[in-house]
Amino acid sequence: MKYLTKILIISFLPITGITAGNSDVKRLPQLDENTQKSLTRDAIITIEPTGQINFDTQGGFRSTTLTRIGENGKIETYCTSSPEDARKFLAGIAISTLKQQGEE
Amino acid sequence: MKKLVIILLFPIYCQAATFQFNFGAGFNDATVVTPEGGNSGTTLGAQRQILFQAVANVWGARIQSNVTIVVDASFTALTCNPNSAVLGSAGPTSFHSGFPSQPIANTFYPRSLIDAIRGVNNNPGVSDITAQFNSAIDTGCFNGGTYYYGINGDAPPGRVQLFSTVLHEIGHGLGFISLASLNDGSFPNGGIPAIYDRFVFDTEDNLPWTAMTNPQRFASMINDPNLIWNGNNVTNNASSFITQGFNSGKVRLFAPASLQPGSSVSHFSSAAFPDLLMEPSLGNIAFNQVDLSPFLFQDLGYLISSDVIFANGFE
Repeated sequence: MKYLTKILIISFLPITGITAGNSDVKRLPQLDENTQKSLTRDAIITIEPTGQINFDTQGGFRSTTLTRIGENGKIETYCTSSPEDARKFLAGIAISTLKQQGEE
Repeated sequence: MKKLVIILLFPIYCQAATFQFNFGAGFNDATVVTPEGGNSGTTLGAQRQILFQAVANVWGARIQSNVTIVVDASFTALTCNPNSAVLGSAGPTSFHSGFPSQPIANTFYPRSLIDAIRGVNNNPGVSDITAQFNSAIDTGCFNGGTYYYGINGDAPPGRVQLFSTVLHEIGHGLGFISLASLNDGSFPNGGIPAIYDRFVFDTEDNLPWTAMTNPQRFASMINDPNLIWNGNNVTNNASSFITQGFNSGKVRLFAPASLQPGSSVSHFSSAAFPDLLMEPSLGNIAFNQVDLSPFLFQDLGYLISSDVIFANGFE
């Protein structure tokens, strides 16, 4: 019975996807509902009798600019289409490729 | 008697674009404020309206359209913490493919561009762009400061530059945006790209995005420094604005490997120097010019006017 219990526990982890990476994402600050909606990329697509295809963004597909206090105390901004990157930026996670305005 | 008939051919869209704002929540805020930075408004709502109109004037001076561009704009409480906050967002309300006079078939065009191309409102009564900004900033929740509503000059220390952000976001609303999926690189509706996507090219694969498989495109989204803009108007005019930020003679797009694929591909690369309005990170300095962006919009299909100098020093 002990042996059987151990097998079940090991099998449980991959099913729930509990990994170090996923738990990091969980710790990121949640976005407010409106911002989450603006970054959502679920469109409603309809086709008219003429053949015209309509792509309704439903208020999503918006690029969103965020701001934070950087390590040097300066205000940083960043525009993204990704909810996860937005949350990382708000959490203060370094986005190393972002240069300070005016840097070469 | 023979008659000489002279037919004058004008492009359908040939006048400076005008913007109509459907000002929603936050634009009637009666909080009394002091005019600043060329913004003469004496209430918060008035300053917000003046700032947005000033942004529209900048874009309208370069983008041409006989159809008014309609923007639904609002200020709503969004995420705001002492050290970080959401500033705002904007995007097209819809895209369409298969409309009359469509220049490139099987391509999604944003509403405002379709109207500019056709010279008529493709869908009267429906807005072209949705823009939403964070009203909470003006409570001092971020860093103890508020938005700077000046329409010229840098924000004072601790205040958040709003003009640059709105100018940038409206640029996305006009069509500076990819529709490729952030999950797998696919295009919508079985493979129809946005008009923006038709000019994205990977110099390492030596393929345009439209010739790639979905996995190839997904990988390409973070293939810095190899993602470039392949439009002739940007390419031919870029050296007037930047001395760095090129690959193979073409302007680089923002596609760093450290980010979610596609997270910021709808931007010029941060390697550009001097900085460009449509880079992903503007910092907190004043940005009152649209620099290379009109030429990108020209690649998309807009007509644009020549660079103008505003009487107050805007370029």
